Parts: sequence; C-alpha cells; structure tokens
Amino acid sequence: MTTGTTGELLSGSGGEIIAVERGQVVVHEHLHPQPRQYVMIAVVLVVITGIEVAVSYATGLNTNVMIVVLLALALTKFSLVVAWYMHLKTDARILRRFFIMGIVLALFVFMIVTLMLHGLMNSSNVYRG
Amino acid sequence: MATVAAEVPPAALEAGHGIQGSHDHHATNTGLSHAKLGIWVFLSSEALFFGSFISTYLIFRGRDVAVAQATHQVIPHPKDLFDIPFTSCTSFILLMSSLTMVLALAAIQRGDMRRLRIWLAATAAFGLTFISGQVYEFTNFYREGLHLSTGTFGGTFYVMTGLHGAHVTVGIFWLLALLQRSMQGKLGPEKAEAVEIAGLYWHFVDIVWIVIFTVVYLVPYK
Repeated sequence: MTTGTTGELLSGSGGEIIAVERGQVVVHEHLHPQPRQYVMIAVVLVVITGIEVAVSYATGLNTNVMIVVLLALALTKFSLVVAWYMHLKTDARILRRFFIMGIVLALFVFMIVTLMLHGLMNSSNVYRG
Repeated sequence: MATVAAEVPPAALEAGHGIQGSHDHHATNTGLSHAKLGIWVFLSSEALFFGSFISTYLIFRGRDVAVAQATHQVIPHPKDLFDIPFTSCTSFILLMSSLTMVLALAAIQRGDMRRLRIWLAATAAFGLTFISGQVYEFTNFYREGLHLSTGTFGGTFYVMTGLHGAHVTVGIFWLLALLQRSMQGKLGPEKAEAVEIAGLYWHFVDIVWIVIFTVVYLVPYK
C-alpha cells in the first residue's frame, strides 16, 4: 500500500482527521468529547429515563399524548447516545450516512411488514380483535 | 478545529505510522480505517435486524389480548406481568455501562491503562448485572404462564428481548477479551481503535434497549 501523497487521507481513532499535504501529515484535531462531557450526557440520559418512567405512570394523561411523549423521549436518548457516545457528531460523515441508511431501511421494513400483515389479517378471521 | 503538521518519512507512512501519538493510523481510500467502517456497516445491518423484530412485535402488540377476550381464553396480560420499577433499574444499569465504556475509551486515548482496565471491568460487570436481571425477569414471566408459545406476544417478546440479551452477552465476552489483552500488556494506547470498535457495538446494544424499553414496557397496553 503506497501512502504519503498529497491530498491523501489517513484515519485515526481519536476522532481526528489526518491528511497528507505537501509531504506532511496534517492532523486536523477533531477530538472526541472529554470525560466531563460524557458524565454530563449520562446525567441527562438518567433524567430523561426518570421522566419516561414518571410519564408511564401518569394516570391523567391521554394515551395518545403519552405515546407521543414517550417516543419523543426515547428518540432524544437514542440521538444523544449516537451523537456523543458513538461520536457520530464529530466523526466522518460517511459513517453517519451508513447508520442513517440502516435506520431508514429498518423503518421501510416496518412499513412493508405492517402493510403486508394488515392485508393478511383483513383476509383472515384469526386476528380480528 | 486546530491543525498540527509533522514531517513524516515516506517509509513511516508506508508502514502506516505517520505520526507519533496515541492513535494508530491506517491509509485507506476513504480516510477511515477499514475496521471502523466495517463495524458501522455491521451496525447498520444490525439496525435492520432489530428493526424487523421490533416491527413484528409492534404489529402483533395487544392482538393476543383481544383474541383471548373474544375466545374466553386466559393469557397473562403484559400490564400484569411487567415490573416497571425493576426493568427501569436494569435499563439504568445498561445506560451507566455506556458511560463506563466511553470512559474506558477516553482512558486508553490518553494512555491511562489502569483506568482503562477499571472502566472495562465496570462495563462488563454492568452488562452481567443487566443479563442477570433479564434471566430473573424471564423466569418470573415463565412462572406466570408466559411461554414462548403463548400466542404472538410470548413469541415476539422472548425472541426480541432474548436476541438483545444474546448481543449483550457477546459484548461482555468482547470486553473481557479486551481486559485480558490489556492485562497481558497487548493493548496499548496505539490500539485505542480496538476499544472504540468494541464501544460502538456496546452503545448500539444500549440504543436498541432504549427503543425496546419504551415500546415494550412503557407504552401503555389497552
């Protein structure tokens, strides 16, 4: 493998972008968050989990509102872990694209399976509630 | 974004050791290491894998209860089965394991091998606690009459959460292997990427649980 030509990109594991420019390795520092930031994110995640559990026990709340609130809170936790702990916030865009592609395909599978089973159930008496 | 430049001999670049530091660098077409790109492609396929099981669970969610009421059968209702405070505690433990995992990564990146071992051991211990909680929960559900063959609820619930538990178990073995390599002196700061890749897998397992915890346990059943 030949390396060291101008414009070539190398990779590092600290979230940095490394390139070869005019025969020099240039490190564009793009470091991962610091431990203090990781702890702050953990505190936020714990607080959101507490809110989720409290919302699930809220008796006066409309069921549909409760579902929307719970899904929004789960999405927030999901995004925080992906962005900060999995470093998609600072890492290369191509990685973000790969992951988003997987999520979009998963949602697509959900839609297809839902439509398929909806059609099957409508043509059968088994799951008519 | 700061920029640092260093003169690097071509031979060093050839060997993939462009600069001195705590990270190992690989020359690739994309500018990303193959291992890192590979784990993200794998996680993308895993998103599809779990997406399919979660979709199936959601589609059949609550239908058993309606069928049982119509046919006068007695099956355990999810509302009576789930112990939300208990599962909240195990979810909290899994969230905390994600924190200890990133702290392990931060430790190896700054060359603090003692803290790396502490945080890796803590992450594995949290994972083991989560799995123990799942085994306890499954045992209780089985005693209450929820079996793998108890309608679509039993099947979809056990398969989805069981596969998640299997992933956590694989993660625990992975972490223990890293811990062993570290204790043997084979995991130095130049191998930080190995910890980062294990961490990506571990956080993925955590985000899958974030979704499962909400859609299975917290969203109310009619």
